[in-house]
Formats: sequence, C-alpha cells, structure tokens
Amino acid sequence: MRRFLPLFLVFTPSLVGCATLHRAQLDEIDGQHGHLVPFEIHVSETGVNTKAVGQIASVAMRSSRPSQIANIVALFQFGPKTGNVVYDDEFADAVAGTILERCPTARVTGLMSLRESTNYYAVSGEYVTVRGYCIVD
Amino acid sequence: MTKPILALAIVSSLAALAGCTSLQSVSVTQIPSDRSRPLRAEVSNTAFLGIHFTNDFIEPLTAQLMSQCPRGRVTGILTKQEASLYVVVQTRRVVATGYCVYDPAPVQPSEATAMQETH
Repeated sequence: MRRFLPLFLVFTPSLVGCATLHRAQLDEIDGQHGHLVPFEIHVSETGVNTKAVGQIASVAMRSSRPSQIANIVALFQFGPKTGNVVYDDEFADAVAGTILERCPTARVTGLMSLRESTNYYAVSGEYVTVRGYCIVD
Repeated sequence: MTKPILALAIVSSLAALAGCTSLQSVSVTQIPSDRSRPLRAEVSNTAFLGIHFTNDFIEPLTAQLMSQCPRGRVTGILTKQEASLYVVVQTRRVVATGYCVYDPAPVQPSEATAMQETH
C-alpha cells in the first residue's frame, strides 16, 4: 500500500484542475446599430507538461532516468510560450471562421478574447475562448 | 541580536502586505476624439495559494461596461490584466477603462441631392 502513496500524493491534487488566465483582450462594444445577440466560441487542445510526465514515470519506475530524459526533452521546448506545449499549433485558427458561422451578417462587436488553460499536473487543457455579440437589425 | 531579526520580520511583513503585483496583459482599442464620458469596469478573483478553479470571474466585464453606456458605443478600451500575491493569497484582476460615445445619426440626403445623384 505504501508504494502507491507517492502516486496518490501526485495524482490527487491533479484531479482538480487549476485554471490560469494568460491573456484577456476586450474590443469595442457598439450598442447603437441594432439588437445584440451574444455568442461564445471555445476551442481547445491538450497540452503536455514534459517535466511532470518525467516525474510521474520516475515515481512509477523508481528510477531517476525518466525524469532526466524529460528534462533533456524540455530543453528543446525552451522559449516564450503560453501554457503547456501542444501537438497542434493550429487549433485556434478556426476561430475566425466560426465567428462568421455564428454571425452570418458579419456584424460583430464586443469581442472578448481569452487565452486560458486548466492544468491537471502532467496534462492540461489549452483553450482559446471568444465571446461577443452579433448585431441583428 | 533579536532587534535586527525583529526589524527584518517587520520589513518583510510590510513588503508582503503590500503585495507583489505582476502585469500579465494589456490591450487598447481606437481612442475617440470625444472623451467626455469615461467609464471603468473591474472584475477580480481571489484564491488561496493562487489555485483558481475557473476563469468565469471575467464574464461580467463586458456587461458592466455596456450598462454604463446604454445604446452607445464603448471605445478606447484599455484592458489590463494583473495579479497580486499577498503571502498565501493571490488576487487576479482585470480592469477595463474606456469612453462612451454616441455617434450622431447619419444625415439623410435631401430629395434634391438624391435626384442629382441618380442622374
């Protein structure tokens, strides 16, 4: 039972996600050219914390080797970034098209763009959320 | 010996109470020439050890700005996102300042002008 204690201690806090707001941007709000209908767009991708993966593997295998390898891999991911690394860097590209789908008149106002993540220790949810209003006559 | 330690403890406590603030993002939109109606909205979220479970605290920000400028245009919005750490408590804050503008109604072309444009 005691051998599972480190794993338990590692995983229990990770069951509750820790939310991070990296960036918030608010655009002009035009309330004088029609009725405003709110919309929300949410795109996400799974992020990976290489160091944490190495630590978990080290605890599970009772060896420091996985953690060392993970640290070397992390060196190649060095640089300015927001949140954890993801496998698909184009996951947010669809946002502009989705806005037009939600608002076919293309009269959009009050856009609030958020870059956020929820961390579950070794993995994370990397999100881009856009809230706004469609101007309808 | 105890006096310097006490002084250090007091200075450290005061520094901690002042909070360690970081600025995370800033954005600004076009600034209008009519800046007679400034407005401000703020939302914040405090959590023990900086462990926040959602980012929903930011949702009322747009509504707060809109309520200060009914049927108008909110522009020149400076959005500032910051976080302050007070020993074991972290407060995240998003502040938006801007201006409420009421654009003049577009001038309808007179009948004579409209007639000239069609010919």
